[in-house]
This record gives sequence, structure tokens and C-alpha cells, in this order.
Amino acid sequence: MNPRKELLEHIPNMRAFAMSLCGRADRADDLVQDTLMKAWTKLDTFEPGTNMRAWLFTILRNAFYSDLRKRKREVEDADGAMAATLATHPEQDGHMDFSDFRIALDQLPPDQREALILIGASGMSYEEAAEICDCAVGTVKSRVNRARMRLAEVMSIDSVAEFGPDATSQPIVTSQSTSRSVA
Amino acid sequence: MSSKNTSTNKVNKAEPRVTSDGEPGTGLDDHLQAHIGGQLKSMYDSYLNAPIPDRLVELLEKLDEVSRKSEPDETGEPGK
Repeated sequence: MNPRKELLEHIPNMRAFAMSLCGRADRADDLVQDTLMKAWTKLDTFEPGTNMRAWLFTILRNAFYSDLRKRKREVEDADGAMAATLATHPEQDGHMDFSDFRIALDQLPPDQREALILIGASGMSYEEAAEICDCAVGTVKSRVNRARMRLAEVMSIDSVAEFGPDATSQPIVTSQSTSRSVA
Repeated sequence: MSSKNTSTNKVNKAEPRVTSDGEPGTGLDDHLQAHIGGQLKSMYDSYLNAPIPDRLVELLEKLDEVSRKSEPDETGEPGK
């Protein structure tokens, strides 16, 4: 098969993985572009018949982490003002309606987020995920579990804040506040 | 009238996963985990179904072009 065609077919999955990891379209596309170029030059190391998606995810994932390290260095090099502008940047890009979930997801450590995305959304097996993340299958499992627990924590706090007694009791109190039946 | 255990087995329905209100612990976790799983999948799918930016398609075309030019002997080679 024509490698260009084959790579083309994997772009939607690569973008979905990249977007899930970093949450920003511009960075995700940079990651995919980076991955495509690397994959192209390494195409002869890819064994035909094996899982190309997993191979591409591995390259993308490594690009994501080296990018993350680079950004971290840049932030550490700069002073607080620089760090602050970087920190506020992602919010300008928020365009989706599951933003609450997105915010919760972004609070996870990258290794947990990555494991959760691979297992919970991308359809990778634990074995494939372990290979992509270069760790043991058991490590993937525990990362996924911790990610789920952490998300549950964050999201249950969120829903209490959103649908808690203050928000729901307010309209009742304001509409018929005078009727008191409780002695 | 030997059996004395009639009519006492009404209440044997233990409902293990029904906690409608926000009780931390048992039932909420299942519910919340299902919710989290659903959110995660729909997020991923929305990314998956987003249109591919032109620059990525163009990049592949360029790469293809470049490698074609650098390997002119590729055309008529009998493969194994």
C-alpha cells in the first residue's frame, strides 16, 4: 500500500489522540505534523503487517513528551509573568461543550491521562497501550485506575458545586418563601 | 403445618448499586464511572470526526513528492 495513503488514513486517529492529550488544536496539529514527518523518515523501520496505528501513536506520544519537557524548561527559565501568560493561554481555545470534563482531564498527570485515553477511548488493548507507553501492562492498569478515581473525585466535587443545595434551593426559596410547614 | 418459613421472604431484595443521591462510596461510583467513560468517548469521537486540516494533507503530498523525486528508480522495479 502507498505509505502516503496509509498515513493519511491514520490522521483522524492521530489528531484525536493528540487533542485528547494536549487539549489544543494548534498544538495537536503540530504534534501530528511532527509525527508524520518522523514516521515518513522512519517508514523503512516499520514492519508491514504490524499495527501502524500503535506505531504512529508511539511516535506521537514521544513527541508530546519532548514538547512537554521543552515547554517546562521554557517556563522554568522565564519568570512568573511568562509562566502566567502560558498558564492562561489554553482557556482562549475552549470551544467544546464538554469543557468540564476537559478541565478535569487536564488536571490528571500526563501518564494517567495518556493511559486513560488509550484504554478508555482509542480502543487500544492493555498490551498495545503498554507498548506505546513503554511500560508494563500492570502499570497501564494502575494508571487507568488512578485516573478514573481522580476524575471521579474532581467531577463529583464539580457536580456538587453545580447542582448543590444552593443552586437548587434558591428558586424554591424565592418563589414561595413564606410557606413554612416544618415545625 | 410443619413449615414455619413461609411469608417471611418478602424482603430479600438487596439493591447493591442503587444510591440515587450523592452518597460517596458505593453506587455513585458506578454511575460516575459510566458517566466519565461516556464523556471520554464522546470527546474522543468528536476529535476523531473533526475535519482534517489542509496543512496535514498537504504535508503528506509534499513528502510523497520529495521522496518520488529522490528515488527515480522506483517506477519499474519488480517487487518480490
